[in-house]
Amino acid sequence: MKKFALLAALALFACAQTACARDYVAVYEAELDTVNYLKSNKTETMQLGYNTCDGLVEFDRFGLTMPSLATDWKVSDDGLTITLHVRKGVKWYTCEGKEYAEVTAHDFEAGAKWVLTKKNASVVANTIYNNIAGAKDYYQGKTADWSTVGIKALDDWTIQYTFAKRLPYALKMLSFPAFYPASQKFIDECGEDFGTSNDTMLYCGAYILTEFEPEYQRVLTANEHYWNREAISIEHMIYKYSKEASANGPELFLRGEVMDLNLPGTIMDEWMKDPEKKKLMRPTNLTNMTYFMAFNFEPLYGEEYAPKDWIEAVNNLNFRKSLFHGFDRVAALLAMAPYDYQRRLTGTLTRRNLVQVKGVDYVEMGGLAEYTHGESFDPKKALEYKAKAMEELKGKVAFPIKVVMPYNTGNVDIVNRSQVVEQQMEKLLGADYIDIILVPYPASGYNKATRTSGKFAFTQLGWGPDFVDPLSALDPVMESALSPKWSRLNLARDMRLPEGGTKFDAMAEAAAAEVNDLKKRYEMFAQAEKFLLDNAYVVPFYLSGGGFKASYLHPFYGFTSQMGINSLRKLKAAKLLDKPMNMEEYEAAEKQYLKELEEARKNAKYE
Amino acid sequence: MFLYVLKRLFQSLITLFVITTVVFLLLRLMPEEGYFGENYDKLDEMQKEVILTEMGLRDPLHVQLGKFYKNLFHGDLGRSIVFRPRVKIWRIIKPKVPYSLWFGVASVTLSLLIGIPMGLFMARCKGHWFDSLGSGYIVLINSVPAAVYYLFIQLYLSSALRLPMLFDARNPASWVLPAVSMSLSGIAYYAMWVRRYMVDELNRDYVKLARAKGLSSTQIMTRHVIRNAFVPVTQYIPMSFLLTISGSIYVESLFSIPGMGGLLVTAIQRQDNPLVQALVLIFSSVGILGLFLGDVLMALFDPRIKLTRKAASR
Amino acid sequence: MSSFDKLTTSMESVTAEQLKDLDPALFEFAPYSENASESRGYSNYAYWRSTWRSFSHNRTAMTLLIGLIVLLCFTFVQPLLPAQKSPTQVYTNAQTGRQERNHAPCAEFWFGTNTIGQDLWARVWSGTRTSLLIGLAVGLWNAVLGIIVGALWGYVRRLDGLLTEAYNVVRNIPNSIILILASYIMRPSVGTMIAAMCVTGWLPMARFVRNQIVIIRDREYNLASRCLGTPTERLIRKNLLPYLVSVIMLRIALAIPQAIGQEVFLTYIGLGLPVSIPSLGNLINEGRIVMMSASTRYQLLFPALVLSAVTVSFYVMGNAFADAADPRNHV
Repeated sequence: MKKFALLAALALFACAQTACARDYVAVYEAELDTVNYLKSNKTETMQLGYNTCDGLVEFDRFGLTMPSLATDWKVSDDGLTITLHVRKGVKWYTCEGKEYAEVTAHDFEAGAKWVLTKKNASVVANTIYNNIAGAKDYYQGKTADWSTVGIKALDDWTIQYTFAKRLPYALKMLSFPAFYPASQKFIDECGEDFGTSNDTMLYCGAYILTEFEPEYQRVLTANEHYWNREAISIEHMIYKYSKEASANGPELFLRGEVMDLNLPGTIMDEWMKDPEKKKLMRPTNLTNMTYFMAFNFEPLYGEEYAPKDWIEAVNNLNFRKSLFHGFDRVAALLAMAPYDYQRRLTGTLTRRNLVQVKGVDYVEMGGLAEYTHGESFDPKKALEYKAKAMEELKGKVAFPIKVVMPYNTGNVDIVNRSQVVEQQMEKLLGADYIDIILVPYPASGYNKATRTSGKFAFTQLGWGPDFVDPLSALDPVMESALSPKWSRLNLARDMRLPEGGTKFDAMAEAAAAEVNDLKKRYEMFAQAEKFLLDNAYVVPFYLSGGGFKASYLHPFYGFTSQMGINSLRKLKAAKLLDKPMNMEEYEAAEKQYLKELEEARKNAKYE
Repeated sequence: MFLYVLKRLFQSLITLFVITTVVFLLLRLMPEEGYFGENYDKLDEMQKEVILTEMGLRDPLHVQLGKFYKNLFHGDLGRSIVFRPRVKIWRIIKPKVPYSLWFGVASVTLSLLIGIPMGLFMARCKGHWFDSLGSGYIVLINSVPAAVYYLFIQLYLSSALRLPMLFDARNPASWVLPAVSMSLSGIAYYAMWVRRYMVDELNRDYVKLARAKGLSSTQIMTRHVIRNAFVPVTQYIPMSFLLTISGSIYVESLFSIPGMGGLLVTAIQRQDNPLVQALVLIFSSVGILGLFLGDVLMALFDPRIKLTRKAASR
Repeated sequence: MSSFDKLTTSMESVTAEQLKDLDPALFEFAPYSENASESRGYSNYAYWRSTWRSFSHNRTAMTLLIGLIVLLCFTFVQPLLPAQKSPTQVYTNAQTGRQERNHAPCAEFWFGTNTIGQDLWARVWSGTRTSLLIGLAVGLWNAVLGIIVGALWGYVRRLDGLLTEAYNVVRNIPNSIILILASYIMRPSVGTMIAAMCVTGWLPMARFVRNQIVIIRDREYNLASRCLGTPTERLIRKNLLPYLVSVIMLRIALAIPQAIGQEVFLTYIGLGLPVSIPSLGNLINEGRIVMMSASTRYQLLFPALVLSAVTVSFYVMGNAFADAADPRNHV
């Protein structure tokens, strides 16, 4: 009798387990341009890549490095070479679930070779050739000898990467889809059609793309023979295309046809007021981009907007500070994020939760704490600086200074925000001081018409770091990183050094050279950033992501990418709840998660 | 008549050539930055050159044009460069056409089947309640923008009638709402014009004569008036059917139908030149064919219309 | 009532009694007088005056015409009235310092406010003004150019081939390409919007007129005119176009609502007017985005009501005018 009861209990338990493995259904608005993660770095493609293929390393739910297709690795003494052992027994599967071949070290070479072949026009090629020794020459065609490139399969189960310079985040970089494996045999079979649809790709990851009908839906099915099968809890992931998800999404969710939905801003008021609906929503995690207001030091717009006066004004520290403190960030953000603007505001250019050392986040280092915890908007200070600026600029410029602010007519949020900002700043600082002129541009080619052509004075720009390092986050304001004409910040008069280059670049490059002591490295970057903010060269604004969602997915489970919980997720080890999590449960879960994060960081094996 | 058909055919080919070349040249005027979309910032100059070369945009214009026409003669529409890179355009279009065609044909048929009789009855009951009701419907459809009432239908009608909100090929019930939505403006259009043409015809002398002769209203309508009133309407019928291939941008995006609607606009905005050229070619051929068939149909209906040149003409 | 019904009723209404009461003098032979036989009756029939008279007898149409004129005048007068707010100013709450977002209609804001705190009442009237102006300009241009080209295309056979192919070429080049390229050169503004809609907007009208003319160009009365040597221009003007007045009027009547609908589409794909210029098109677009929740639905309701009122007026007036323009309806 007891045995029977035990068996029954076990059976029930097993049934309960499978019953919990439900399907995950979500809607998406932007269709993939390709399923080939070696070709494109669009978010949707990268997310698909994360879920259907594995890299050498991956990141668990705390964002800590874990072995994936690499079982162990060794870093050479000079830090430039990493040798990894490839896991045995991992297989490639076709979209029907049939076994194709075994994944070996040669596949990693093959994948990288595909990326570095010019003919394939891969967008992610620069990730490899900017970091791996010899890759740039191979890509440019200066040499056709693959053995000069720093990616070698020493035998079937060992792969070696040689980097061009020493980087503290070199191992994490190998988790990028650009470094994923690919089967040379399969590539040769498919020819030009490789990666164009789900039947011309192979999968070695937790999920297989079993169905892919563009602009309709795609279905990922759990890979039954995955080497880490117990970690998968969701059987099917179904993504349905819905271009008007902001209009019909909430209704779809209420009818149970969708399990995970980002709530559009327009529905927020109604859902917040309705107690039934309020129970269904929770905050969404922030993501990777920082938006900031930038000053243009080389305005190239027409004479009718008085560019010369603007150049004089913007090079004046007090003028910049008056705008820095006169910009009401909350008012500007209110139309788009009426309920969670506080969470989204950022005081620094590099976002919080990007890097930390021994429990201290980067945004608390180097004197940045005052910006992180303070509020840049301060009407009193703004008027003080205005008075000083008017004194200093008297006679040199004609007041009011014309401030050209372009806006993208295709983006409703920007359209609304521009009007609010114009009226708010002119009201505070006075229409005798500044005259903000809103210039409309169509969405098509907006960046080229405004930022690239220098046709702006004060506008919103955005940037997201590619690597877990402040260097990547500060790219847009460094002359040596991107095109020097990206933000034209380097042309500010008091930035320039007599011997060439900018003060900020000098500080940042010195910080980047520090590869041994992470704490010192981040401190130096933080000080460089403080220099930027003290001199009001940029006004940090808000972070991407945020908002609210109605979702059955647990926000703190599921593997992540190197950016941690703020980024794309591998839904491996994700948890589907029985009912959507609400605000209180979210707060509790977040506290729990942060506690566990502390613990996990202390015991991190591979960091 | 045969010669006329041949002449039109020959003219059409020249027109197609002109259209395709003009579109080709216009597309080359678009800014280069547009080919990269949001990736523009993350790429360096070398990569951008490589990508543009692979897209075939660095060849001189006449070489690009030549390649395009050469491929066309071999029946190859080319491969997409931005929308779905490397994928054969034929492969992109093929699965979408049946959906648009099905919905288009269904909605045009519905429009004709409901709209024309509605217009007839409105003309018959001119000034009475049915006429006012029909006019009210026509005005509603014309004043409320399509984007608005489509959304209303999807949200409220679908819950009222228990129909699915999004399109699902396996569920026949989900085919109903989109087809009905698309036919609404067609119904209004045909009802309005059939009513107008009927009312004009009913004023003619031959109708008074028929009345005087003693024919009943129904006989007059069916045997004489409808045929005459119908002639201007037939012009548009072939075009309506054929143009369904281009899909309906609003309905398809709202109901998530993987059809052709929106493909052209998206392709233009993303600057996928081969895709735009291929789509323009297809749609123009269809449009020209529709225009031609409309003329022929009209001439068939009304023997007084002469398409070819006759002695007394100018 | 249609005319043949009137005929039958008038015939049926003469009774035997009335026959007896008729004046016998009416039935005597009239004497022949040469002078009298030469005299002609003076008819002061003027086509357009008769049309107008017929139209003005239609009470519904006249009411709507007056209503439309009042609406138009109101949109111009509205900014001059007291206590009116600016359509573009963002209103902030004095106490909280935050924008007055999404307020339902109240005493302060008669139509409520939108997502960033602008007064909807002022925006609706300003938008109506802009949209009516755009619609009028576009409608007029399309009508004039469309009729001229369409008439020539339909009537002059030599031009038929050339114009058909020209039509095919211009019609089949996607409007989007032209619009996007144009927006690089010209910045979004009212002028750009009108130009964008006029570049290809006259084509459907031209085709329509051409179809109608093809139907009637070889009718006997036209053959007769040609035999008599009437020049083409006169033939088109006096023979063909008057025949088509009713259908052309109906088409023009809906030009303004269609222009507004097209504006909504252009705004939908991102090529609309800049924000400083409200118009019914972009108001409806803004309203459509928030129409999901009952509390903000008024943002769609008010512009849609105004648009419906305008459309109803034009439609009914167009139909009434088309009826009035038929000479057989002139008494």
